[in-house]
Amino acid sequence: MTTRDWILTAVVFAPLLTGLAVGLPARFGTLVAERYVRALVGTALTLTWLGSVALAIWFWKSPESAFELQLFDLFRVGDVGFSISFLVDTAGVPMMLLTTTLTGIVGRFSFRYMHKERGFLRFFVLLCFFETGMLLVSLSGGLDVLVFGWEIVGLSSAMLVAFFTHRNEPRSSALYVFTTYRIFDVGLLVAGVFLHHYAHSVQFSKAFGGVKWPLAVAHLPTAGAVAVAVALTFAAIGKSAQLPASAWLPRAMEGPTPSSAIFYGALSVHAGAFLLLRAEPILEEVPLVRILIVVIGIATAVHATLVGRAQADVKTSLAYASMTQVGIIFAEIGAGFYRVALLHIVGHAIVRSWQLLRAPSFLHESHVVHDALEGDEWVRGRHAELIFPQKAQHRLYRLAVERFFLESLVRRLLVAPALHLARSLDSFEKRLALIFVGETAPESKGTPGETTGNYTEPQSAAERP
Amino acid sequence: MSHNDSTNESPLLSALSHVAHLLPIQGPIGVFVHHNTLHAFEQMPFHEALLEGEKHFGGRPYLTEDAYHDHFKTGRIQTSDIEAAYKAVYGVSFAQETAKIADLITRGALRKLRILHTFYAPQQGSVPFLLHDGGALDAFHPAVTEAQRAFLMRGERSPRHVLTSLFEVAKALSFSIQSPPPVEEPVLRHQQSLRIETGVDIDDWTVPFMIRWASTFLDGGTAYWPLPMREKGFYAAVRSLCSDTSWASSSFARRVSSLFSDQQKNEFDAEKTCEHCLKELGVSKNKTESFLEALLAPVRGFAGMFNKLQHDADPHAEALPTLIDFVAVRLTLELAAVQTLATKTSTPGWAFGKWLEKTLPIQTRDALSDAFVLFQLFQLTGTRPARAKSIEAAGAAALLHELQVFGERDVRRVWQEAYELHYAYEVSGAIAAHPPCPGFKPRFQVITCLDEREESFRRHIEETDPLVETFGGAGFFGLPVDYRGIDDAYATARCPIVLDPDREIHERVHPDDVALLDRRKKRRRLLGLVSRELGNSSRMFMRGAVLNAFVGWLMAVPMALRVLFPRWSARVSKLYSSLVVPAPRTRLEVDPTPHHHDERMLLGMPESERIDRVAGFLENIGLTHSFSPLVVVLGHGSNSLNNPHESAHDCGACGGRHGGPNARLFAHLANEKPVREGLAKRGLTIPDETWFIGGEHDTCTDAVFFWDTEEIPDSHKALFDKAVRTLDEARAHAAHERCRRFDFAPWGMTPERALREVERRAAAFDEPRPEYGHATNAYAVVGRRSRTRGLFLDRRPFLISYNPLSDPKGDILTRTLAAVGPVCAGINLEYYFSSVDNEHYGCGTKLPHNITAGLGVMNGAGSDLRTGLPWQMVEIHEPLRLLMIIEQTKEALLSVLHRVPAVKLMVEKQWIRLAALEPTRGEISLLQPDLTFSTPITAPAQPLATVVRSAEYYHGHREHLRPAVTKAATVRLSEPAVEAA
Repeated sequence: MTTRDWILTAVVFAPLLTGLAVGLPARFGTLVAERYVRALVGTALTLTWLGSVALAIWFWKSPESAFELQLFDLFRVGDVGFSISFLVDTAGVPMMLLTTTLTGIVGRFSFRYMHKERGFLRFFVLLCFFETGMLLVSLSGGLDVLVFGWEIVGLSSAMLVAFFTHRNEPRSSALYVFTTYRIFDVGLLVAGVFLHHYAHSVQFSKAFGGVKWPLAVAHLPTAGAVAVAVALTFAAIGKSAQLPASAWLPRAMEGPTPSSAIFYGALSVHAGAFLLLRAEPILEEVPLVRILIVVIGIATAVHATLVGRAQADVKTSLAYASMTQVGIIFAEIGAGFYRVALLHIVGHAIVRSWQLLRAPSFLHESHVVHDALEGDEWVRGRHAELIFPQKAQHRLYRLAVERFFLESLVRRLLVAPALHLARSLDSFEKRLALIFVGETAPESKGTPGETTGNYTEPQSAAERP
Repeated sequence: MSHNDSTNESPLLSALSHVAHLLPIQGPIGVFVHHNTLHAFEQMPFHEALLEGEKHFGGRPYLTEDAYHDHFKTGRIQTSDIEAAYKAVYGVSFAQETAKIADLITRGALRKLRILHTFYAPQQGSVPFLLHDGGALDAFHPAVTEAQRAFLMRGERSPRHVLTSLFEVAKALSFSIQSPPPVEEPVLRHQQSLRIETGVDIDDWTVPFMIRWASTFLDGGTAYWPLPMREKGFYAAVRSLCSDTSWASSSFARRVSSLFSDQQKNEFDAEKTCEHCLKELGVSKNKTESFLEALLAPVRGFAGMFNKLQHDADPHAEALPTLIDFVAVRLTLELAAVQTLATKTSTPGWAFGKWLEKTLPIQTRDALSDAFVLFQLFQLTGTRPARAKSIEAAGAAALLHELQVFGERDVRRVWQEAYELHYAYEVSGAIAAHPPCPGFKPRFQVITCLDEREESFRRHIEETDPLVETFGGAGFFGLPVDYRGIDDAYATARCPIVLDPDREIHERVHPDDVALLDRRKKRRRLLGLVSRELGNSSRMFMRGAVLNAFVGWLMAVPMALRVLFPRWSARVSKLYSSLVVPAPRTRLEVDPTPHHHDERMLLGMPESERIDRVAGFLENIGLTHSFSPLVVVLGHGSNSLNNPHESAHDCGACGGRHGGPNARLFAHLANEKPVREGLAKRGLTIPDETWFIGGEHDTCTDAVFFWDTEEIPDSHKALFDKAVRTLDEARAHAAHERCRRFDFAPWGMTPERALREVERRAAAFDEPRPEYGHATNAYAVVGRRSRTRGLFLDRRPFLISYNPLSDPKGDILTRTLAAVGPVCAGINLEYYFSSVDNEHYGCGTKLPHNITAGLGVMNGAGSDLRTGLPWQMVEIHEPLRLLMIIEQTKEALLSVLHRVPAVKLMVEKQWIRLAALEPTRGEISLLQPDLTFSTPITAPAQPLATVVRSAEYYHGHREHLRPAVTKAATVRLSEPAVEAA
């Protein structure tokens, strides 16, 4: 391996190792003191950032030098194998730089912000894991490594939503986020299976026809391309809070401010969009799926902008503003503006995370502006809202405040039938088992709380026919 | 709606007004005013009010037993304090309680044992765990003494053997006692019964609805799209927006819509709707009040805000919230939810009222838990199994009964009293034994707010230059006015909230600088517009896309700079704005012939009033003679970023705003010739060579700045420069002392470095503790500064200057006590409650806070409004009730107290404690709740440390410190060389 390869490997894994180093002692009953956490994590974040800058400079000096690094094979049987590989290219490098920069800044921010908080250590362990997860997503050379990073990102996000374990809302919101993630992650796994089947590899360099992003073209059979593209789109919808999965995003604001800023304002919410960018060679093959992505993106953006305009609290309003922009990014990707979309991701992630970090200053800042404008009324609701006649406006307003009843719609149309099916299957299986055991079936009395966990309990019970 | 008529109120409205009384009274967070969190029960004795608070709000009344045990270990509470506290509460000492219980232990001994050691009464079901996995059978209770252990172990091989047989005996005893029937409590809401029956909590449907709509309605500018029809009121607006059933997707939402549309058809007003819903829900008249209270409990914060804004309407708000509107919506939702859910119960046809007739078990005796208590008691009393066996069931019952009568709350009450008594004796002793500082001719004088944060600042001024005299008074300087600076959008009140000013003072630009002001306004407006438009646009659809995609990455620069170099980048941006936005010279416009600004407000102040106000304040603080050539008047305020509770650090006496303008006004008035002449006529002669100058102290950055410096006469310029140098040195030392509390400030830093640290705290976005505010406040001293000058008091007392010698009739004291007593008590009690139970009485940790509607904070994205103080503000606070030490004879103090009924009530009900410091002798007597005095305290229990300057004493200590003697402020006074220096 060359120096460059070493740097790349170190950049990806240094945060994970640091997280383990400060986190593992807790497993044996010793909590690493704050100042050591600060020193270790601070060093790791800084070095990771420097490493990523070095890689980026090196890459931009000779843009033709996109390359793939095969670290090692986990196993290989003939043609099929599972190898750990990284891909450094025009799509991955900006994402890498964005990840290390934002994590570095937010990490530094949190040293003081999280000071003395119960869970200080937990926060930084999760932040380190998250950074490696995001870097794996950005730099992975194949779908298998990407899945690995994807799952780390999902898990650490959900655990940061549940950061304040002593209250109920964070716990149930975290469960909600986690469940949504898990359901949509299926798309990624399915895409992997299809890729293996049709392209005999999940390496982007092979399956997607080269490393010249965004000019590479995959050569999959049409059925395969459609299947993979749909599955990846499904996965991207969940992670990037697009319709119909968007209800988790405002719920994720239960964590401490910096985690909201970096996860839901900046990085993990864009992971889905990045996945689609990554899959661009396949998307190029299937215009129908691209149209689907545009439709989903526009629908999400319109939904989110209407909802966001009616939210009276700072963090929810920012969450919906995020969703709006991610929707537009989806539309850009669907329309084929890949470079614009990449630029949009970077710019938006920075703006939004900075706004979320400053969210507690909202009053201070709005007083300053208010005085500067000498008490002028806020100019509000001038544009989209006034296009509609008044009656429609009022209807729309209610839908905006109620977030288009999305949560209860999803429960009624998706969750409840799924639960119903699961319960029927469960009782069928029990009956079947009892036939063999030879006893009579007891009355099945499934209470909703048993099978569905906390979050679906209230509404689903009401929605039961 | 005629809900303000108290004469013939309907039963609904009177029930509602009782319920409203229990709601939080915190107003919009932008102007934070401290108040007693349990204001609803302030007519009750303190300890009873705590229990009421626990019953209604679920808040802990005292610290946890563990916390008191920790204080006991460090010596902060001592055995003698516990004995004194017990005697104070129960009237007898432990030794006098000689009745034997179960022939085993006297009541006094049992109670003392109970106080000193937690008798762990485990939760239902956890006893087997404690025995088998928790090691309770392997080791003795940690408090068992060596001798007891030896006695218990006599003739036995292992502790396990003894402990097992002891537990068996305890278990047999406990199970032989007849258990009382479980205590049941009627349900208050349908929600409780329905949740038990169906597993569904209807609050999960109704509360998010309430929170979303209420915050949208109250919003003052967060949302880009304001609620349509909000001017019609909350109920009317929500009703007409939600009455359309066709869009609602859930059965609950459809019910809500159809109820609203029925109400609309019938043209109900809010009150009628409430009555209708209550009737439908089957809530009988006698249950209305408890039902409404329980109904509002999950949204107390918002309900309180509606109630508060209804009574203290913001004149600039678009919408007028009323509590009845809020309740009407809440009741409609409740009815819709009950209707939806009731069909799914086993008795779908029930009248809804039946759900209110159920009861909930609240207390069931757990015999195993009792056995565990007896088991611990046997160990702690050194009772061997054989002896324990001889106890009869009645004896065991008596022991358990005694432990129930003297329960966990009684134990903590004694601890709390001991905790407070110890401190009261400590500071009283220190002040009583302190020799008064002899009089001297001051070089200049400084008047600050009575705020306990100014204690250290004043002490460091005096230590820096012992020829400076300092005074403390309420920080609005006796000037209740509305003030509007050149940059303000409108005038705001600068006085305690109980006063309602009818004078308005404007800051005006210097005539030569009119053009400059014009430019300033234009530039500020431009910057404001740009910042508003950029902020809004980034959230919008198309504009947002263009901005984010093409220039968004530029924001990385300010983000990195502001996070990595907060102090430096704040200075650069300040420098930049001072270059762009010119600062014209200004002066206060105090029109001597005031005219009406509107029907109520008088712009300016008539001359006689000026004289009265200036004289009144100077008399209050006892500055009526020995004026120095320069008198510095300093208000205070606090600036910090990323801190929704910023205003809680401002001046409480200025209604949660900055007090600088009042200081400036006071100096302006006191310098006026006609005022001086008027004062002289009243016998208050201010020498011609005395000049007043007003300024402000920023308690977060410890910066001090002055106004109207160009008007200082040439003769005073040198002295003013000297004063500025002294104050600069003192504020650096004050910052240094504050830094001892901050973990991020290393030991051994210079005062200049400490200033940089506190400046960073104010400018940084990552700092949840820009300053600690009033935390650690514990007492107040009303008296001459000479009695406390030269004492290190650790930023804990409010210092109110008052000269008892010039107040023979007690008129001044009556005024002072009436004004500052409730203010200081309000601050003190808010800190008490927010620190004993931060989740219930405070607003929890700041980290997930989310500003909603510009009025308050919620946790995350959808909680109720959180009131009270965040954990980061109170984490170092010792919850102690205010002790007011007043320099006056006992008789005079009592007679004054009778003239101030509000304070007298607080003393009798034990919300505050008063003490008399003899003006001519070094003794302090505590005033008991029955208005008799304790035996005088003349000296501290342990001698005080003596140091030259404060820094020597606090170096290396992050914890609370006892008072100490600092020589620098007093000792050099006798040295003639000082004058020359």
